[in-house]
Amino acid sequence: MNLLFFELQNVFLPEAILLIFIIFNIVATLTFGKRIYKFSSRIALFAVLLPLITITAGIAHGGYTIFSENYIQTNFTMVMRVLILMGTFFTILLSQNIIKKLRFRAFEYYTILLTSTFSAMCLVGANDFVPMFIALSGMSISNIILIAYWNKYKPKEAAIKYLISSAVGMGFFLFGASVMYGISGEMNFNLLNLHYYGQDSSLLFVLASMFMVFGMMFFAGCVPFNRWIPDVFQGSPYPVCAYLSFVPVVAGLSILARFFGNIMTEAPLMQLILSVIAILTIACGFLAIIRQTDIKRFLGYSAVAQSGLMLLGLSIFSSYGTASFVYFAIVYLFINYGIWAGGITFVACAKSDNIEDYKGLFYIRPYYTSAFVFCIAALAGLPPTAGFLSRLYLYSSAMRIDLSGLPVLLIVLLITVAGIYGYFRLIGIMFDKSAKRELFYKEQMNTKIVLYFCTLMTLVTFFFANQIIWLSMFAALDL
Amino acid sequence: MFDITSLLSLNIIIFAPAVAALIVASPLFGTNQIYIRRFTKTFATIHLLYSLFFVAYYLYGSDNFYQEITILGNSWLSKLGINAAFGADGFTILLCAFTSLIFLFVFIISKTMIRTKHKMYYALMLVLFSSTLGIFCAKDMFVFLLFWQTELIPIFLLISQWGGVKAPKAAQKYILYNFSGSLLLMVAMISLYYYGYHANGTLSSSIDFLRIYQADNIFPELLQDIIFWCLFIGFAVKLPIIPFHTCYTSCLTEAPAPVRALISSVLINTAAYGLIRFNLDLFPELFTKFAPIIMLIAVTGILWASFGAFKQKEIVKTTAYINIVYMGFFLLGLSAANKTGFDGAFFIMFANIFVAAALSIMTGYIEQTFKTKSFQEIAGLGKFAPRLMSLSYIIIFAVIGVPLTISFSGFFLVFSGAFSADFADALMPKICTAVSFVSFILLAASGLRLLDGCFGGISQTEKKYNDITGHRLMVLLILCLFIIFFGCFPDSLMSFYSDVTDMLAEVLRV
Amino acid sequence: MEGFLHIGLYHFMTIAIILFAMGILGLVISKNLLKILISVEIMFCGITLNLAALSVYCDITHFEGGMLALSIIMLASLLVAIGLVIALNIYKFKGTTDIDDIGELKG
Repeated sequence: MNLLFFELQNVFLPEAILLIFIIFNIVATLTFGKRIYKFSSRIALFAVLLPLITITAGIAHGGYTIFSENYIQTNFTMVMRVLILMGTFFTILLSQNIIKKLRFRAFEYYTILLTSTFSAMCLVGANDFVPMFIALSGMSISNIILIAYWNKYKPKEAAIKYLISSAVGMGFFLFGASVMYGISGEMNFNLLNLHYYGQDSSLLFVLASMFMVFGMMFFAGCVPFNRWIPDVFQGSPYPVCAYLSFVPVVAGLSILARFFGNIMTEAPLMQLILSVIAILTIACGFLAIIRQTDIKRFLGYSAVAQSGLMLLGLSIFSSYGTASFVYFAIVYLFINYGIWAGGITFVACAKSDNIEDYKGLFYIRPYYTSAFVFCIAALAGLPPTAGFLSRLYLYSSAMRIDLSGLPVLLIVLLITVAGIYGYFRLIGIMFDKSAKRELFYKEQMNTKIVLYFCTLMTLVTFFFANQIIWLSMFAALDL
Repeated sequence: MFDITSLLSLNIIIFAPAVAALIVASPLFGTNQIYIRRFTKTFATIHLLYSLFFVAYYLYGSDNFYQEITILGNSWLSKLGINAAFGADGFTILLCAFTSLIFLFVFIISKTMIRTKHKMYYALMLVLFSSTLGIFCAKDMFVFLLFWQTELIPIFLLISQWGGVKAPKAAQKYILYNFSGSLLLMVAMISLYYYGYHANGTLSSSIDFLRIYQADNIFPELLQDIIFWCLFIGFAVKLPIIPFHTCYTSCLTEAPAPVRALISSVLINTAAYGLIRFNLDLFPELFTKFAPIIMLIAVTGILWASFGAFKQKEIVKTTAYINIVYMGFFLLGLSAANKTGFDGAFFIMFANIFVAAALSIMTGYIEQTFKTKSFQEIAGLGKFAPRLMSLSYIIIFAVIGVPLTISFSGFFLVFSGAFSADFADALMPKICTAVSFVSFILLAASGLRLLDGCFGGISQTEKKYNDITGHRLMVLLILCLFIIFFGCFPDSLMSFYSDVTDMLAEVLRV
Repeated sequence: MEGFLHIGLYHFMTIAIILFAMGILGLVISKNLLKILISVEIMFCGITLNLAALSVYCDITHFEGGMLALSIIMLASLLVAIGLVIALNIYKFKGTTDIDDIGELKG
């Protein structure tokens, strides 16, 4: 049901609130920012929490479209927007060290961050190629500026690499979208559905969708584009990395889920292509983890592998698969920010990115290391963390109800062993007692809170998994 | 009327050690090693008494023990059909009680063998305790898998932190092998999960649910074979069965002595239990179909491990190979597919708990005395430690299978069962059994070599060695007493599981 | 012959695909950062042409392709403008725009 302009608040309220705060931040940057820069973090936190409350309190309902069917709100988009907002929330909490260095320019940083979040939220709800492209480019441009913002050289190189990859991705996506538009004459997802039915045999349609998927793979960090993602991570500061490894990935994959769930519900060739891309991504991610010496690259490749896993869940094209994707995304939120919080806490003190410097960390800070090891175990998929359940759910949906996914699953599991080897290497280093060097350690309150909270939530989502799986099924049934 | 079943709760048995682990690991507890040790030992004693309470209730209290203490449907993940269901019959509860006993002994002997980082050590051990109990009592496939995988991190840390020089590498190898095995288990269990869905229309991963429908041939033959072998290999990695035994022997060499006792007695039994619970219980026809192949695997394992035990140059590897021989006998008994064979296999499981724990503790003491493991440097302990020597003689008699020790009944039942196995090719089981008699000679040889090498001879150095006293003596003494007691009265053990083997043999015959 | 000269959809699409391919090729081959950015621009040009042509010939009533084309023009130029700023910064740091010389991050 299409809402008119004066009824926008039912759907667009969270984004509108974000937009108001972005404008406030821009104005503050230009005028009175220097006086109230100390409050910038609190304002940004408020900017993220208010939309979160709006969505969860049910002020916004599901099933409406606005802007003449260009933007839609469904249960799925509501859940995904909550995830994106919580991701930004954790990022703001983790960026306190950086804000202290930025001082007067804090509002600029929050402008860019909030713009990226805003674009991600608009991306999730897009119902047409035009808003999808606008949100995509908004998100990638904001991310580029976020990466390039810092004063050293490495961020610039990382940003130019991200820019080139993102441009190629967007180009391919647009090309596929234009061909699809040419075939069907429609750009709206609701109307493309009517044109698609049974088109899988049409070669042109398949080619067009392949181009589109190829382009969207950039945001998920999947195979054709995964060579430069660890470089981007290496050149960016930690909170930006934490943000980049979660929010664009989840936004990109959820728009992909919405596209395929609404339009191509029965497309065996597309499922095969997506499965192959997912397997290659997981392989690239996990096989590269084994030899890394830099913690940012390690976590970057790990993020690539996790997004490959999420894509595997999506490639099932059923509500079961999408529910496993949503559950994985919810759990991944906590695991991801726990891991990056651990990295930040360590690096702020040891002043080094090298994994070898983690040697003997357990003997200096046992509780911090235990929480960090817990998050790594969650990444690896071991119980009693929620990572085990999310992997189990994912694998059981990958092996579909008629067990036809068995070969795919066996290959994926074979690759996961390489991932385990890499993760346990990191754990072993942290417990390695042969390091004689004393680590100079300063307490960092904010990041520790995030670390412990995320570890706790990994346990909580493990024990109360029923409600969260209910939530993911609720989201997946209404794409 | 006071309802005693309200006091018996499987939840408490399984999760109490995890709670104790959290208490030990929490910052409130401090790092005073005396308090940690006392707390853990007290907790283990109370846990043992509580499990014995269960055992007593089984023996004297109730007629339908299983129904009364089963906990169904905690609706942990009811959306997916996974319920945190725990249940135990006589066999399982006895395994739990013996696990408690071994853990208590391990905690007692850890006093002198573990010298650093007590807090982490005892916390990890308690988590391991909880996960093994969960494996034995789980009635749901994915809960089983959950507890199966939970023990990976504690063992990794236990071996790499307190182990020998090459311990981190051994621990990583352990993780790789076992994680791959558990992934195969996961694949097979997900297939079974959907099997139940096709059979009935509801998704449920409860083992009882699947047992009802396993006779319906919904999946094609090849798929059923693949699932069976995935499960088998998943357990074979841990059992360990011969191609996969290298990780086990290297692990055992590098692990500290208490961890060694734990791995060789309790953790192997979880794999054996898994084989019984999944391969035998859920796939009876496939089991009979593949029983000749499994018998061949078992015999190969027995022979290889016996030869391996004989030619080792250090004491710990010898005990590792002796363990593998025991598990080979277990598999031989299982593959016999008749009641005697099953009785023998189950008996070997229990025998392995005591004999392996006693062997590991004994070699741990010897290693602690001499600070080395190799045969060349150990000699002449007998003159200084007569108590240790006499107890070691009893243990080695058990290894060899001398009557009146616990393993004699097991070996006898396994052999008679395997000899009378009813295969299509009637000659094969007889030849296999006859061939595996060779292992007795080699077991005897390696056992006696162990004894003579450690206690006989004249020590090269002029040092005096202490005999074992106090708690170390008590632990080994109680284990030897158990070995002799269950050797003299095997029926007391068999009464716990005879109904289980009856039921299994019935299903196979029909 | 006469039918061939009549400019139709396929002509536009051919040129658009050629432009797109040239853009991708230039992106992959170029050693100079500015040339890469220009290739990105060419790529987007091809796509815009494709969209405009398709919308005229297939969907003249709603003209949604034209709307997307306008958005692409706007956002692509924004993208390349930012790219130019970053390239300028790289030049300030490194004194060269050759992509072989500016690599500091591994890979």
